[in-house]
Amino acid sequence: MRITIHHHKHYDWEPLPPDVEPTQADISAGRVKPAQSGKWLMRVTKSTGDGEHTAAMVGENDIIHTILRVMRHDRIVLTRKEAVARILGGAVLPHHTHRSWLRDIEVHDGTPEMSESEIRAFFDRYREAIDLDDDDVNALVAAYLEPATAEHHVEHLKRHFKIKGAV
Amino acid sequence: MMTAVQQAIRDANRNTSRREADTYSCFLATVYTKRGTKRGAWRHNLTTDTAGKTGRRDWQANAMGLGPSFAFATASGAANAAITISATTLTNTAAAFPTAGQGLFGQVVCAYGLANNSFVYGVIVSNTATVLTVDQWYSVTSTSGAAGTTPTTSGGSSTTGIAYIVLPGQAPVSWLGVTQNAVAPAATDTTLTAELTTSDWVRSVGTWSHTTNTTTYQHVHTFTSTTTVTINKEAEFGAVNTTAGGAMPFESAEPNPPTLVSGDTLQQTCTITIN
Repeated sequence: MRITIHHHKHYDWEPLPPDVEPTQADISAGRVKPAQSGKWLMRVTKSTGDGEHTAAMVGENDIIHTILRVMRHDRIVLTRKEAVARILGGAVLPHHTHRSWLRDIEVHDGTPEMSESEIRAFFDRYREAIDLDDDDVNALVAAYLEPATAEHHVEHLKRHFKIKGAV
Repeated sequence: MMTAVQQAIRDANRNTSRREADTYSCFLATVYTKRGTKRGAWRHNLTTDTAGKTGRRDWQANAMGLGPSFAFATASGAANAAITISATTLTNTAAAFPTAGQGLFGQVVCAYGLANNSFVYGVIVSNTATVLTVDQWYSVTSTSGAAGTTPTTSGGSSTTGIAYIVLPGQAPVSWLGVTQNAVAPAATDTTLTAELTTSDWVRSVGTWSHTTNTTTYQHVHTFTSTTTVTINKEAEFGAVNTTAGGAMPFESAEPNPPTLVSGDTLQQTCTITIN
């Protein structure tokens, strides 16, 4: 699923000056990342005006494993829309931008990639590992296959990230 | 006193160690257990520099700069009796595919079967003058690298055969593989030793993201384990499985290797700096 996230500010990663040492707090807070040979990159904030955006291709593999993870930990059945929002919020945006800087979101291709038999076989494989019974699998399959167009994803993501103009 | 350029060149000529890479990755492992989340530490990667097709430099040069094989006479073939296809090969008995050097390694071949109206592509992992071997035939609509329907060779005629085109450049490196092997990575590695191939740990395509005009892009890969495993290393690949191999530009060891029990999830984040 191709997603374009428009924002008015974003993060970039630049070399940490050689006379600066990151603290454990800096590392834990995600203000720095490793570069090469013991050097570091620091997270800086930039703005390039209209047109700046983050492009993302959310893989179906990440969607279905996120659904499994949340089911196991919270016993919550996620739809694809909700799983995509969690992936963007938890794994994508922290590297690129702050959710309060988002202006708009576009989605291309919202429909599930896997057929009912394929997604059922996937969840069946994890029955023991995730402690899933028949009702759980049926609920997960139904939620995964919930019809959702690209527009439905946009509406959901705008609401999830509290973007102005959300439905 | 400043060193003259010629002196610097002489010093570099004597230095057998490799210059550090300007394109590199860093990895972060996050493990989700039944009780909560264990976030690992960001760690420096190792960028492979083997003189050969799997190393980062060759892959990047071919990907960014077109590569050496993009306009040879049999780079495309209209359907005819000489062209046939199998699960991992495309044969054109009338072709003269380039084989010198790295041949067509890493390039993408698109194939279309007129008989069953199937359009697929594959990453070339080796070739002879007449046979292209690919990692698999991919579905063109899958974001997770799922296999597509192999085009049917039905009579091999101009109306029922196979048409193909070999594209310039290189296939992207978007597959992540993991291993329990704890031997320290080396820049000369071309494979991930003892890479896991069970169904829960086969290579996966992740979520790609990039912000316009910034210095990095990111991959996120998610796995859910069905057994107890300790993940010691990861690497990014340009092909779907260990049989195909593929380019392996980035490899990383886990400083604190996470042990996952059945049901645990590993989310592996890879930031690649392209500066």
